[in-house]
Amino acid sequence: MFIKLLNKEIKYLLGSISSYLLLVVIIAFYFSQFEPPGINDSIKPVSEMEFIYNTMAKDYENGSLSSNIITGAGKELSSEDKKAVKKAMDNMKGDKEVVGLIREKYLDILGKLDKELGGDTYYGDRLREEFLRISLNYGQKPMDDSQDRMRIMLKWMSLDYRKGEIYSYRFGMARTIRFGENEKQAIRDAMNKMKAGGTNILDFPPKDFQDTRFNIDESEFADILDTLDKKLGGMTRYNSMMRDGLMTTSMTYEEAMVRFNTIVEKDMITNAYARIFADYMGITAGFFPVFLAAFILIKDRRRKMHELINSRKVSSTVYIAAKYMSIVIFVTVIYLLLSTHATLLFHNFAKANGYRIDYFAFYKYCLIWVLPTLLFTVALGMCISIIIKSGVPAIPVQFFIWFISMMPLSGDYRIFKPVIRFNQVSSHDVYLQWSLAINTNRMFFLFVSVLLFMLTVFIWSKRRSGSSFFGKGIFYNFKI
Amino acid sequence: MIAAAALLAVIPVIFSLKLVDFETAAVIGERFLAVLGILLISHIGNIEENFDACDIVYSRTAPHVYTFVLRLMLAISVTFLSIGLIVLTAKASGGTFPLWEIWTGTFISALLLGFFGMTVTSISKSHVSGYLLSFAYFMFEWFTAGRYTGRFYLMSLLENNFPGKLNLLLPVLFLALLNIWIAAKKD
Repeated sequence: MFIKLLNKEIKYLLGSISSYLLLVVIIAFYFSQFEPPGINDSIKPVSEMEFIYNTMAKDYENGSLSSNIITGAGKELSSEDKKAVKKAMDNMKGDKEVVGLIREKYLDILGKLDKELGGDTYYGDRLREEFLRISLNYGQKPMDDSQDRMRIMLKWMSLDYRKGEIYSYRFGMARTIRFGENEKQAIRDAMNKMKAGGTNILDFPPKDFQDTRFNIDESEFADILDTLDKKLGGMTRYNSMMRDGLMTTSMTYEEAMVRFNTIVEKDMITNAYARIFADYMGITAGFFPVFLAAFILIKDRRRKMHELINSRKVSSTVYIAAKYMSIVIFVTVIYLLLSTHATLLFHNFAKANGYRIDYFAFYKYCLIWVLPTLLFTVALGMCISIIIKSGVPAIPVQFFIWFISMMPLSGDYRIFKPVIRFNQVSSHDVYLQWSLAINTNRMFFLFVSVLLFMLTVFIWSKRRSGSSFFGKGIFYNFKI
Repeated sequence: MIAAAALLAVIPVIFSLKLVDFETAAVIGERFLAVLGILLISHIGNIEENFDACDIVYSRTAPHVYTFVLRLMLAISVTFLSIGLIVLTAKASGGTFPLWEIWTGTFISALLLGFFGMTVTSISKSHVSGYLLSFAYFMFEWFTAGRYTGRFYLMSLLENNFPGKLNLLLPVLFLALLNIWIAAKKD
């Protein structure tokens, strides 16, 4: 009976325009958000010398220096300039496969090139560092040195004190908290606790904290920040969930290579990209299926079939389960097809670049990360629609729940967030930091989905048997 | 209506409307208040079909298009006033943002979303499709930040670009006229 009903429900979904619109929306989201590397792309970090060499090649081909915020509009290269660039390229690489020189010779080549191009280019000493800082970004990593971490937080306290306000983040939105005397005193106390010696640190501009040494340990430091966050109203930049993002520093090329090697060896590339794929698909799974779920039980009443269905022998559980599973299967198949597409793209990429990939990565993350979100969304939509006897209220409710899950982009997997956000291509080690929280979250939402499903069955069953309490929806007399 | 009222009730709880600056007001408007357009306007094109009253309504001598226009004007007014309620509250609570820019900018976004949903509803005769596609458009613009729509970016207030909103008036007007034409054709 269940299989028969399930088939009927799936056939109904396949004949419904809403289903195809949902399919189009999910596919549009996939293609607009998920950007896997192309066959000719490289995911390997580029060293500074390789980057400068590639920049020279691009400038030579374009016949001009590239425009950027440091040097402004790109300078046109004369034939003499182009010869100088070509000469510099030959000196850097010659007939070698990769660029690799001792640093003095490399700087000497760039210095000469800069001079031959008239000076003030991004090859010269004056502008090169800034150009590299903007153009060659290996990402951020947590600061290793606790003194550096304390220094940066002290700087933020000083800036916030001077500004007289701070942002507090709730539900992903920033609210401004203007400081009264209590808040100012809280910052003063925190800063004085960090810097022993009684110096009035507020007399010093933030840049003078560079040589400050702190006499507190990590645990005291964390306590100071937690107390400060609480006194400022909570969820400020000093909160334990927010402050790690401030205490970061740029990765070096060598560190980026370590991360790359971890992605290649431990993640086999596709696991790292599958996590960001699951992030994007989770966004759609957390909201759009409600448009099918919220109306699938209502349509029986609208078509005046509910009395006939109520009188049938089919059990309530089987009936609701068939509807529930039909939506879950339909949407899951869409995600699995997109997983197949992504796997194929990475197969081509791996073949062209000589990598090995995990062919099951996208499917794994689709089922483990995205499916619980989908199960929850469908269950909640059906439950709300059957309580209120209308499908529309489920939409803003689901929208609100989806909305509070959207920020931050990673790192917050508390159990009121049904959507897993992991918006970064990161290595296995980074994922491991969060894996316990993510798995707990997924188990929780699986459990909640089952509860919501059982509640839906219970209410429908009572209503079917003519119970007066459940006979009318909460807003029966309100036409929405 | 109730969904819209619930949304309005929840906003002051989530966001705290005290001392709101332009950036925060733009986020509240573009990412939350604009959804009112979907909730209040999208279903208007299909009310008779929803309650199986179309045979009776369309057979009346009074042209249905008059009813539709009146309904539309009421929905637009309610949307405008609902957005104004929140924006005025934020302004009165010490907000430091230009009132009319946020109010009218958010209203234009809400209109476009609502009219888009209404068009889909009228054509497909399915209000679910109207809600789905209008929310999809809303989220698409959120996550792509105008990459595909360019000067017709829905949430241009987030880029401090109020003049960009005026570009949206053309599709708003087009969709309004299209829906009036569809309503007239239904008679």
